[in-house]
Order: sequence, then C-alpha cells, then structure tokens
Amino acid sequence: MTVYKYFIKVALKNKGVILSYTILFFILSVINGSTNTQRETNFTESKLDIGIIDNSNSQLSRGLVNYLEKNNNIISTKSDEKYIKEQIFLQIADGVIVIPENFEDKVINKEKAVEIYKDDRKIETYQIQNQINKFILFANATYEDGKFKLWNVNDALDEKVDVNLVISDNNINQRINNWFKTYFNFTSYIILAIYISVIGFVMIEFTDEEIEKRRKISSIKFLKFNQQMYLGQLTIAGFQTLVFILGSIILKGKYIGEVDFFKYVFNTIVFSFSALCFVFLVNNITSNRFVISGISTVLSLGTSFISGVLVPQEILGEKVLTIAKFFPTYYFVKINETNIKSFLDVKYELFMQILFAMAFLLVGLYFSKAKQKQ
Amino acid sequence: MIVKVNNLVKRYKELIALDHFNMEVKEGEILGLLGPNGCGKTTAINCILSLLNFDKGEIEIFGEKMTPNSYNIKRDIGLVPQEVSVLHNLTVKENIDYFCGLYIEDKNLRKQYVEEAIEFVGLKDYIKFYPKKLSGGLKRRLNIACGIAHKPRLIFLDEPTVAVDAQSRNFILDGIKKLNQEGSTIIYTTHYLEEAEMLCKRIIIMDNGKNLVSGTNEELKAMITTTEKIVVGFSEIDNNKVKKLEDIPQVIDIEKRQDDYIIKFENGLNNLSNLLDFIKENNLTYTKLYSQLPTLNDVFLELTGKELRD
Amino acid sequence: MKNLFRNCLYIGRNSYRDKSFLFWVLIYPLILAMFFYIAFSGVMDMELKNIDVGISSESSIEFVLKEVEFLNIYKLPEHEVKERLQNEEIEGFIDDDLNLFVKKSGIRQTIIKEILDQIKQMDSLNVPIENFDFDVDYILDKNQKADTIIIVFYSLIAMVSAYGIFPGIEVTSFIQANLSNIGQRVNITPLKKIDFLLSGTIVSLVLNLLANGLLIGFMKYVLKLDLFTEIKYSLIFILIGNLFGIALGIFIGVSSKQNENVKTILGIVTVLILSFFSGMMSPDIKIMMDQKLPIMGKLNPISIITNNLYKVNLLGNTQNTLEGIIILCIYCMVLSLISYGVLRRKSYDSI
Repeated sequence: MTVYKYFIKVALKNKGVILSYTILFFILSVINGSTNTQRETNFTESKLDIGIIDNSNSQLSRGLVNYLEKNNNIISTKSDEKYIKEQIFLQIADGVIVIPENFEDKVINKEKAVEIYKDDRKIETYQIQNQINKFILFANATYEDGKFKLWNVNDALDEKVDVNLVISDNNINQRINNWFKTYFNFTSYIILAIYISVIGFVMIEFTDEEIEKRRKISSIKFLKFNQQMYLGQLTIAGFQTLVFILGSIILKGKYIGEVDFFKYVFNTIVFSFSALCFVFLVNNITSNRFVISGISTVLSLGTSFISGVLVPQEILGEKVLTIAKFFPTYYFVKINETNIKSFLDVKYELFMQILFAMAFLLVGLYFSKAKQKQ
Repeated sequence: MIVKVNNLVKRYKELIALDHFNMEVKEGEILGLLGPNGCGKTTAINCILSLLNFDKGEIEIFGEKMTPNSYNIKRDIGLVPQEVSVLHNLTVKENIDYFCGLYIEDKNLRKQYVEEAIEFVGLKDYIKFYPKKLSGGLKRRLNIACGIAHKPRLIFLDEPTVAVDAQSRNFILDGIKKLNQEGSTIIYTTHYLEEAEMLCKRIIIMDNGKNLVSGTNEELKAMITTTEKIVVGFSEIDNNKVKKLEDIPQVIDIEKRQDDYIIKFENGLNNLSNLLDFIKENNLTYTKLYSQLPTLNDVFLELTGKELRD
Repeated sequence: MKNLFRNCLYIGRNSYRDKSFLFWVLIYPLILAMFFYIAFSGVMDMELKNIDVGISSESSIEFVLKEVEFLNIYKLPEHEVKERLQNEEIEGFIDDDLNLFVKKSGIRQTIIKEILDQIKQMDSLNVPIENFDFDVDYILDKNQKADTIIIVFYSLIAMVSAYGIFPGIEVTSFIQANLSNIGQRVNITPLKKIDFLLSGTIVSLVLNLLANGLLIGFMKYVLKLDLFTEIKYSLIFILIGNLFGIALGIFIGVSSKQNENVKTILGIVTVLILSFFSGMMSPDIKIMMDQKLPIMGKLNPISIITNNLYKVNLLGNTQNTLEGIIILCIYCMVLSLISYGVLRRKSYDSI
C-alpha cells in the first residue's frame, strides 16, 4: 500500500486549500444558522421597517401613520434625501415614506399623495405600497361632505382573515429545513472546488512524465498502482464529504429528526460520487497545475451560480437553467429543494447525477486510453 | 588583500555552520573553497556578501567593512549562485541585460557588456530563448552570464558546475580562467577536487564550518606525510615477503587492496628504484607497478579521516 | 530615475508574460462578470408575479382574485389541497369562508393574506362599491431603477482592484534573499531595495489598473451595464483598492517564509472571503452580515469600496466618502509600515 500511503501524504500537503475552503464554508453556515429555527406554530405576517416623515400632520395623515404602525416597525429617519437613500442602501429601512403638506387635498383630488423610497432589492417592499394605497382608497371611499370617516376606516381595516398553518404529515420543520437546504446546496460548491484542486494537484505530482517513467520501470503492476491511486482519491473525497455531513450534525444535530436528513446525506454522497468522476475526467485531460486551479475555481463557482446554489433556482432565467441541466449540480440542488416522500419522487434527478458520473468516467477512460497509446 | 574574513561564526539554532572561519583572498588570484557537501561553503559566501547575519567575526572587502548598505563595494562584486536564479519570463538576452543594468547605467557600455557576456558563455544562438527551454548546462551558463556581465573586480562562483554535462563544464572552467586572466579575482567553491586542483592558485579546505588548511596545491600536498603512493601487483608473494616490504626505506604504510598493494612513502625520492631493487633481490615478478603523487583527496583524507568524494 | 524606469520595464515584462498572471488578473474577472450577469439577469428584471393560489371549485371570490394580475388561480378539489401545499405547488389555499391555509409564513403568503384582508375589509366598511376608485395610484415612486443587483458588480470591481495582492506577493519574493534565488542576486547589487520595491509597486499598479479598465470596459460595452456616473470618486476608490491590494500582498509576502504558491492561495482566499462578505456572490450574504455583524461592513475594505462605489454612483451621496478613504488609507499605511519594518532588515538569519 505504498502508493496509497504516499498519495494521502501528498494530498495532505494541500491542506491549505482544504482548510481555507472548509473554514469559509463553516463561517458562512454558522452565520446563516443563527437565524430563527423555532418550528412555526402560528402564521406571522411579514413586518417591514419603515421610516415616516409626516409634513402634513393632518387627521388623515395621522390615520395613515397609525395604520402603518400597526402593521410594521417604525424606525426614525431624517428629511434628507441622501440620508434616506443611505438608510435604504444599508438596509436600515425597507422603505421611507414622505407625506407632503397638502396631503389631504392631493388625496381628495386623487393625485399622487405620498412619496415613497423603497428597497428594490426586496420583493417585500411591494407591501408598503399596497398598504398605503389601500388606506387611501378606503379613506376616499368614505369621503363625504368634506370629511373622511376615519373611524370606520380603522374599524374596517382591523378586520383580518384567519390564516391556518397546515402542519406537514412528514413532520418537517420548514425553517430548519431551509437551513439544511442552504447548507447542503452550498456543499456542492465546496466539494467540487476542493475535489478538483486537491486531487488534481496530487495527480499532477504522480503523473509527472519523469515520475511516470519510474513507475513504468518499477515492478508494480499498472492495475495495482491505479487501484491504490483511486482508493486514495476515494479516501480524500470521502473524508471531505464526511466532514460536511458531520458538520451539519454538529451545527444543527438536534434538529435532524425534524428534516429529511437521510435525503440530504444520500444526495450529497451521490453528488460527491459524480464530482469524483468529474475529477477523473479532468485528470485525464490535463496535468497542468495552472489549468487545474483554473477549472477548479471557474467551474465550481460557475455551476454554483447557474444551478441555484448561490442564487435560488426560481429566480434564474429559463435559458440559464437549460445550461445548468448539463451539470450534475443542477440535479443535486433540485433534490435538496424538493420535499419527498420516497426517493421515487426524485428518481429522475438521482438517475441524472449517476448518468453524468458514468459519462465522465467513460470520457475519462477514453482520454486515458488515448494517452497510453501515445 | 581584496577579501579578509576573520573568525567568522554563524549558528543556525543548534547547528554551528561556520566555526571561526578565516579566509584571505589576494587580488588577481583564483581561490578555491573546497569541502564536502554541507561543510559551510555557501554559508560562508552568503555571510561575506552580507546576505546572512552572522554571530561573530569581521569581514572586509576591498579594504572596507562589508555591510548590507555597502553599495560601493557591491558595485564591483559578481555572484553566480548555486541555483539557477533568473527571471523565467524574460529571454536569455533580456535576463543578462536586466541584471547587467542593475550595475551599469550607461546604455552603450551595457550593450557592449551584454554582447560580450553572451559571447563569453556561448549562448549566442539562444538569445531569444526562455530559460525553461534551455538544457541544464545552458541554464548554468546563463546563470553565470547574469553574474559576470558587469565585469566585476571580484566574482563569487558557488559550485557553478554541479550537474553540468562534460562539454559545458569544460566551457565553464575555461571561461573562469579567462575571467581571471582579464583581471577578476575569483572565489570558487566546489566539492570536485579535480576542478580545484586544475583551476585554483590557492585552495582553502573546509570541513564542518572550519578551515582545515590553506595554501597552494603543492603546499597543501607538502603538508601531509604521504608524498608518494606506489601501487604494485605481484604474481606471487608470501606473507614473509610482504612483511619485508616494510623495511624498504621511507615506507610508512602498506595497504592491501584486492590483489594489489598500495605502498605509501613519506619522502618522494628514489622510492620506485628502491622498490624495484627489492623485487629483484627477492626474485618476485610483478604484474603491475605504478607510482601516484598525492591528490587533494589524500590531503583531506589524512586531515579528517574521511574521503572528500561523496 | 532612468534606472527605476528600466527596472519597471523588465519586471513588468516578466509579469505580463506569465500565463497565470494573465489568467487570474485579466481573464478570470471577465469570466466572473459573465457568471454574475447570467445568474442575476433573471433577478434584475424581477417583479412580483406568479403567486400560485388554490381555491375551492365553488369559490365566490374567483372573479375578484382573477383581477389581481400576479396571482395564478387554481381550482382544487378538497382532498388535493394538503398535498399541493406540502409540495409547495401552491403558496396558499382559500376556502369558501375566506380562510387562508398556508404551509409557512413568508412574504408570498402575507401578500395573499393582504388581498383577502382587503376583500373582507371592503365588505366591512359598508360603503357602495362604486365609492372605491381602484384606478388611482396615490404613490409617487422616488426610486431610481436598476440598483437591484448592481451591487454585485461593484463588489466584483472592488475585488479585482484588490488583486494587486498577487504582484505584491511576487515583488517581495523578488527582493528578499531568503524567499527566492533571484532575491540573492538582487540583494548584492548596488541598487537599494527600496528602488526594487518602488518599481515593483509601480508595475503592479499599472498592470492591475489596466486589468480593472478592461473589466470595466467589458461591463460597459459588452454587458451594457451603466455603472459609473461619478468618475472622480470612483477612480479614487479603485486606486486606493489597488494600493490596498499591493500593500496587503507585500505584507503577506514578508510575513512568512512559506513559498509563493501558499501565499498566493492565502491571498486568493483572503480577498474571496472579504468579497463574499461584501455581497459579491449573493446580496443576501451582505444583508445577513449587516444585520449580524455591522462592524464588518464598516471595516471590511472590500465592503468599503463596494458600498462607496454604489453610493457615489447610484445615490450621488458623497457624505461618508471621506471616512471610507481614510479607513482604507490607514490600512495601507499600517500594512506598509509593518512590511517596511520587516524589509528593513537586510541580512537574514537563514536563506
């Protein structure tokens, strides 16, 4: 097992790469994990942070402010456009509204009555607009003889429909499930990056032309040599994947009963396998250190972007997703995003990952044969 | 004296790399710094050039104290380091021009010097090559050119022939002689004793960070008791007669190596005829007989009890 | 002066002929920009649409809901409701009594609820339906558009401006006798170390600024992103970013005897992490950081550059610009001073 032993030794020389990626990963996961993980028992409406500048200070404007206060968190702001924009940019406020002096007249004349600065980065801010328009719509509907019947408006606006939270049969805690989803999606990026660079770098050293010559004249059989090489790769890859799986247990171990933990683990193992096969392909195509670190960085980051690791699949464009389907990461993410009863629900996605693995292996073998013939 | 090193001590943690090392170099000579691998030759050079800190000792070059800021001294020094130290993305000519330019500001003079250096190391056909395309020997030549193009007064060559093919090696050695003839003083480190014998006017033999002895080739050899070795092979000889060999005048030691006897003498005169007389007297026949003068290896062997060759 | 220029010329030549330099400094940022563009182009014209809502087949409010353009209405038989909710095929289900069933709390669910609330509230207000004038929008939107995802691109520019880190690392190993063979040669020349350091810095700066220019040009003319309105301050920040990168590179370079590869990886990772936290890969991470560790945003140099590029160009706000410039200058100075302390020692304990 000499080959195996030294494979591992050389691999561990690259601990800098392994550690830096792993640490980056865990820092992000810990920060991400500090969000609320309590199981939801009641429906809660999304509340926004709103700043209000009321230059009108009329009965109507106070009514509007009251209404907004009931449904949102009010933060202090200043009547200064730059300041407001900065507050929004820094996400201190989701939106800031400015009520002009002649607010009532404008409402009555059905003109633009409220100025609003909102954070376009968040879809939620639509809600502010909606609430203001609703309040004014209602107020105007009660306008009679120069007066608003704000009392009635308030009463009406207090009416709320009942919202019932449907509890899942499969006992999944949605909030914590989200964490696991993000965590495991993100592993695909790190797994791909580490596998390609670390295993690639080791293989460069062992398949260096001169070293290869030595191997050829040595008494070890090619098959046996390769067996030990692949065992070494498997060990490194397996160890890395295990670290991530164990990591999730260490960070959120007490919740694994509340999510489909086995799905994530199984999916991650399948993905790791197809990533390893991809590494096999890369190693048979090139043994240039520079090309390998390029592929590692560009491909891992690239597939993460287009497959929904860093940006959710649902907001990616159709065309992007079509390209993403040519990489196993897409199917890996898809499975993580799906709530399944059994693996039959995602058989297609699992099949695709394995199909990719096989394809990588075959093409890799082809290149390896071609190289030997030379 | 162009270089004077006095009681130089350099420690790497526990290891004493230089132990009261002394050295003097005269203007115009080629000084050989000879010693086995790891004896402190490169460390000595690096200390002399102020690249390394040292714990004790004084160093003077051109009669002035050498410090990291002695830019005037540095102007007249060239170094050919042991490793090939060139910029990998510059061509042969660009490399030489670059390093020469760090010393010579005048453009025309530099142009001339660079041409001469290229000629000197015989890289004329390779000026547009990048270093990684050169063979090992040619890389060494480039390494040398980068160190000597500015025609320094004092040149340090640190094992410039290690791992070099025979052709390049002779080229390099001839070049060094030529440099010396043109007026440069040369300090040459090596662990090849043949090179030192052939090239150097004076030699310092080092071991374990100390200078064992120094002197000219002949002086060194005169220092040891053995002055002549005669190797003789007999077709037949009995032990009695071997014993009697010791009675030949001036024999100090007899060593049996396979079927041959190596007889060491302490004085160089008439040994061969004395031995021949002995053979005649005892009716012996010999299969081979030749005399060897001592080499630097014998000097080293006698001083340290170990062989210089690795 | 002539010497300095010559030195620059050769060090520069040595750098730009280096394939890995060309890739990482010139090509890699363009590839990243492409990725960002592809990935976020969907987000850039994101609007509220396609919230899937289930209703019972005899729902009385079907016609009202159909009026709301961003809702997709599905009539569902009772027994399918739960499963569809579980599988997130619908965000909510509305029964005949206007009760809403959802699987989780979220913005989409809140929006559905708001609509239902409004239906109920209108009923409760008890005024004739013709009093409601749905056609009026009382809101004057003061936002300028296109600030959605552009922060990612500012972040990318900030990151690339800090790529001076690589030539920074390289130049230290060039002039340190204990780091490279060349360093020994350089150290015994009659030129001062500071001359080499200066030429190295100038070359790094020029090459990296060129790379920045290429990236910005690519964004402007190929991706058609309009990023810069305030040229003066933008240039200042890109320039300081470059100086910061070089200073950091030199600092990493002198900080240990590790070989250049290790240091380069260290450099890549440092810049990548800082960029990550400044929101380069996903704006959400920046939001998260701002909530959990706001001090990071104030101190993270990449964040400072990103935020300021965004502020001066999109918000026309130069209020706190000076603060950012000062913090970055302090970084540069501290890093340079420490490095200078190390570089000043000219002889080494071991080579």
